[in-house]
Amino acid sequence: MSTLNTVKSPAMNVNFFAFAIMPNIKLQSSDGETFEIDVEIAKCSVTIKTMLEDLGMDEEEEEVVPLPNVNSAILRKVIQWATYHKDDPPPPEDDDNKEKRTDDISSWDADFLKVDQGTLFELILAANYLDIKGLLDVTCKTVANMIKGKAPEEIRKTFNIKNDFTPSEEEQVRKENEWCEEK
Amino acid sequence: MEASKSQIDRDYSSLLQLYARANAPNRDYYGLSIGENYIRFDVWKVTRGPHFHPTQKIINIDDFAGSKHLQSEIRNSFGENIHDFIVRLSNGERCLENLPQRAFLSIVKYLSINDVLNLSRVNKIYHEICNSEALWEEMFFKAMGRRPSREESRQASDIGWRNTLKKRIVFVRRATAPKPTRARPGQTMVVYKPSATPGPSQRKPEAHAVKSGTPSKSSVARARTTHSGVKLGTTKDLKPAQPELSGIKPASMYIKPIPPYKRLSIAHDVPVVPKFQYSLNKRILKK
Repeated sequence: MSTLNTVKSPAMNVNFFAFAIMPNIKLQSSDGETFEIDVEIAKCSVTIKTMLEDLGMDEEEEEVVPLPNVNSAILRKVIQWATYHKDDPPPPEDDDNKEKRTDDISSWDADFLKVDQGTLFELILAANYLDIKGLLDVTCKTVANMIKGKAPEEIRKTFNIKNDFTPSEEEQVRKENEWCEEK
Repeated sequence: MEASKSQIDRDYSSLLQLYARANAPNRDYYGLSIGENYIRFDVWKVTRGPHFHPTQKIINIDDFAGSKHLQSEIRNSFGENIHDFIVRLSNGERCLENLPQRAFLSIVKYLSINDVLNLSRVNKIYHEICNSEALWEEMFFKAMGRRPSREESRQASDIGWRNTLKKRIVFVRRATAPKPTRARPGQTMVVYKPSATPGPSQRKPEAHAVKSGTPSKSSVARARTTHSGVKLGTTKDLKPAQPELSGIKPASMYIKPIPPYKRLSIAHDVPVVPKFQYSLNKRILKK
């Protein structure tokens, strides 16, 4: 590190040195636990990336990025995911004309997302907050697969939802929603 | 502790907004808006006077467990399920229905229209979150594969995106559906089914005579022919009965070759039953 400090000159790219000198960044979860990870891994989150760009990185200071919306268990999972996917090419831009597929989840991701539903929704929330497109896509696909092609009663069973419609209301809702039934 | 008003104005991402009216003898109005960190409860008592102004109560979601009065009021006006929804949210339990709208939409973009409609039938909360304008605008965009035209946007601001998409789909389905074949009372409908094996047998199709309503002698004289697959109006297809079919009298026996000036009317699906005959049949039916 000291050798790098000595060659530092104003003419050189400052950003390059910021990475070279401080490869690690500390993330603090909502319950106070800190995680020290590679900056490059942390930058798959657009939120953290813009935060670092806006604040600028001081080489000397030990900076801790607080993440008040993510608890340590979820943050650990997010970091695990980001570490595995750090060499992935950036996800393609959303093409709305393209048919959205949900069956292209890699086997590692499928294993990674074999968690209880609470954790799955926490992961969606964290990915949404940290703006990690790849993780958001794969978690949303997993949830979409749980809904696809199911009747209302099956959906209730899957997500453990109570039905609060009265029979007459249920009939009315069924009628107003049957315009796309046949296909 | 009351959440400050400016904080709520900034937090536009409310998770759920509901309105309700009190049960039959009462006519009080209730509004409920639930956000990530607040609950807004509006009451307008109009049942018995004096009619006060609508009142608004805004509390932080963490204080919900402490305010028994608000809990019972929400339970009475919106039901047990909504109360449970808020309790789960204040406990930090995450489930599908209390995801922020942006996250929910990113799930919905993988679903078909049928899936969203089924999801909205699950319960009242899902019915609410599956009928948001933002969601149906997204669905419209996805189903049509293009941006909405100016005309459609105007229609959507009038009747909502959901109904705009519904109209579009119903219209397209009607336009592309095969025309229904129905026989008027007293009219014989002849359905030609092109046989499965191609070749010369296609030239002599089976004829099924379908009669509807009360049969009358004159009704058989004219028949409306409906065809699937083979060109309409060509007399070549309407050959007289084949010898092997002589046991059953095929309906095509009764069909006169159609003069060329009348073929047009058949092609345009205009009934060829004369008016007087139709009224005659009606009279018979009445008796």
